[in-house]
Amino acid sequence: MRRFAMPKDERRPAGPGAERADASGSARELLRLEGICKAFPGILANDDISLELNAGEVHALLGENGAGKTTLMGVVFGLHRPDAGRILVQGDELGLRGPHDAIAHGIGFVQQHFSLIPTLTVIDNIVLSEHYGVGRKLSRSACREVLRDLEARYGLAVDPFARVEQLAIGEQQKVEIIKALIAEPAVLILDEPAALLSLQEVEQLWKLLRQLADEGIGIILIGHKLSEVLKIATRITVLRRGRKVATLAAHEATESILGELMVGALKPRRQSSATPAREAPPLLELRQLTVGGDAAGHGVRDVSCSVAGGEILGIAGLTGSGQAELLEAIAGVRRVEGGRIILAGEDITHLSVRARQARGLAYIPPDRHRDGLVGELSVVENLALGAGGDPPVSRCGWLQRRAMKERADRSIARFDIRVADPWRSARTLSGGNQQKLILARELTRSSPARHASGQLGPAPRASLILCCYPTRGLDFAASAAINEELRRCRDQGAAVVVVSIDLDELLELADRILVMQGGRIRGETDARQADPTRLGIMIGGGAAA
Amino acid sequence: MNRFSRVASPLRNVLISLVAIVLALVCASVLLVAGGISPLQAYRAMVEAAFGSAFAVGVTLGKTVPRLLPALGIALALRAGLWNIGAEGQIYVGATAAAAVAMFTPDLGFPVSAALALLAAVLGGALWGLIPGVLRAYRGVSEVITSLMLVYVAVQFTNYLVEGPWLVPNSTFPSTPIFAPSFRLPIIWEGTLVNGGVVLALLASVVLGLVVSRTTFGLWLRAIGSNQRATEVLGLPVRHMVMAAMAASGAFAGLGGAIEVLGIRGRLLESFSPGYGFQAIAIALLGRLDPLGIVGAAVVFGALEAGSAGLQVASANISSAIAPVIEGLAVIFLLVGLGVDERLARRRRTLRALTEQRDQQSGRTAAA
Repeated sequence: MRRFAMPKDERRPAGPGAERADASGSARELLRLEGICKAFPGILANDDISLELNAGEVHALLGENGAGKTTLMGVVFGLHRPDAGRILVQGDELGLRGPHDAIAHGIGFVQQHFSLIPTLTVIDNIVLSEHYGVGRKLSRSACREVLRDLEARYGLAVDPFARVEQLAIGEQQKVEIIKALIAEPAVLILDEPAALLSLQEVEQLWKLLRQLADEGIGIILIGHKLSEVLKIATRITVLRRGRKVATLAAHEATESILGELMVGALKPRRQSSATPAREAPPLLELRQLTVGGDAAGHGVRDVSCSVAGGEILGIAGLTGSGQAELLEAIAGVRRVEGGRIILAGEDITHLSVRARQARGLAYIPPDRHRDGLVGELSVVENLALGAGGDPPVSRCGWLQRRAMKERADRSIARFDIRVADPWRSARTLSGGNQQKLILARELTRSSPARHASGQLGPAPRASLILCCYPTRGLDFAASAAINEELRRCRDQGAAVVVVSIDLDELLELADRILVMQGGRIRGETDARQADPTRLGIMIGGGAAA
Repeated sequence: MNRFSRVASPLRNVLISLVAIVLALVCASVLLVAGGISPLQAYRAMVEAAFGSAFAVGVTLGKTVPRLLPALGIALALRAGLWNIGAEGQIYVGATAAAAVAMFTPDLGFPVSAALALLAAVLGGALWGLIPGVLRAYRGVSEVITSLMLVYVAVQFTNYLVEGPWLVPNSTFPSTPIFAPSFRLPIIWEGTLVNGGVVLALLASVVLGLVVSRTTFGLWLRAIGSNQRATEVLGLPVRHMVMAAMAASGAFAGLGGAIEVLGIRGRLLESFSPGYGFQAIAIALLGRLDPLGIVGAAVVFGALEAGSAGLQVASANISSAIAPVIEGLAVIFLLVGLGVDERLARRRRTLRALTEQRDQQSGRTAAA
């Protein structure tokens, strides 16, 4: 049954029967990590992490975003070469040269971001994948046989001739899992597999994982939702800022213990300090807005809603439910197909990005590397980009380096951006500081109109702030700082729209929450009276309230 | 983003380019040995022919300038992430525009007439660069393809003019008549062929340096070259910038073409450029998009051309084709060098991060 490399000296009986016995009896060690260190520019992602994985267990790897979980698994899968430490598979030390090596040693990895070719069929994707492996016949019919076998064993049914781009996210993930299973792995790693799935799909996935574990496969599950992890894991290892904090058996763990281990101390549950929403006229109004999507997302269908000054509107939903596209359309980066966007009584549906900015709109894009930062430019220059071509940063087309530096110094102090040298490239900053840099740039943007009225200096002055995943990938302190800034803007009368896939965060930050699913608004609730369970069901596409 | 718009420390840039050129010379010497020629003697002859006398230096400079100007333009576009492959065409359009002014406008005396001809060349080159710029900005058409295709249009159009309507009667070679002196660039160094174009080229280098590092236009240009998506989200006028960058790029090349015909040649000839615009791409890359570096790289190329021409005179065994061999090898070694440098830099950053974090942690425990 197993084809992964076994140690040459057969100290253990091999074969399915033996494994099954092992799984139920004394645990057999499949994978051992010893003292793994991995550094990236500016960050020590893994610092001396050791871990064992036994046959038949579901070992959850918990930690906040940026704790080093994915990096660690990348090391195990040969994507990153560790700077120090050893990886042992069934007692043999590995020097992995790449994923193909890891696969040959019986390690499978279902990554969070799928590695599928959207325009090809499911079966072609599988045949082409590294998991399909050497020694197999490179033919669709041979692959078909293997797929039938997997379907019979695990109920993993996907139409092999459907093109991947036509499949829903959950189906695409199934293809990724099939790809990993086809190499008959001894160790299966899944990175946040539940993040994109509906509740029902998650249940199915958990059932599959339990079955695989019962067959003696060791499973490592990366997650950050405590409740999900507690449902399925047998052991839990918690990482914090690149270091291992603890490994404990699932029956010893509770959500509060794990939460404390993950963040270091119990997060005080913050009550939204908003004054009850005043009956202010809406600052932003969307009327039957329809926006085109792309391969990754649904687009937006017929969305109408409004936001008033002095409130934070949270938009919840699974990734790809249209939230990002909605904000892009309001910001002017994505074309509107139908409907209207009204800002302070004025129709801005077809205005340019700059014209919208001049009317007080600020936009924090979802991906700070892709959409936000100009990494090659210095911190000073990045901040100067927010000033457009206006004085005092630019006079008659010439940059005023002293004014640029002064502006940067004020922003750095005001937003607590930690920089060694403001003339160094923005790429060298840590994620949290990069995000603060973008926030500073967007919130201190000088618009010509305001300049004319004499209001200068980097004081937040945007009246509508759109944030897409503002705290994604940030540690607790940086997230708290960003959210605090958003609250401050709200308290000063700005309308704030925050998109996040982290419902807990939204419940804490927002005054009002909209749920989007499939490009439409599925529900709306006051954040203070929200019922997380009901919201969760709505997010997953369950019965709308 | 591309690896050429990433600018590392100046010293390393110079070093990488120099190493590339030296390695190219070493490799080319293998060819020379295979041809039964001592590389040392050959290179000495080349240095002699390129720098041995005032006249030789003049020849080198004369071969440097028409390669330098388009290289500056290519560097400008590349800072914005745009590949202006068609500088050759912009050279021809610029030269033809300058020739048109020289042939069909009244003679207004030296500085005015020459300036008008140069202005026409700048505008012509800019127009030829603008066309791919517009197509790129509004239709997303790759400027690589369009600018390259426009080369052939420009070259053939110039050839048509000098073989047909503008052909000087009783000529053995397709060309226009010699231009009136007030349209031409004067010799500025007695006893050599060095003309005013050298000054213009140096000025253009300074202008490029200032524009890129000191103007808002330059900042936006670099921002677009580094992360175009971010600049769109920022609301910068990306389309206008793309068009402006391509037009400016073409303007530099057009000026280079005009200097060639108004300075050295004194008339417009069929196929007057042996591929200046294409060599300029290599020069821009070897100069690492830095104006000073580009001047250096252009002088190296000018010297190679002058030297290899001299070499051919000195020894019948050697083809002047050794110059393009060296040039090509230098670019290949540059690319390899950049790749190696990137790897080393990444490793250095990683190690630094590791030690910094370790230091911090040990500092913290020591404090506690």
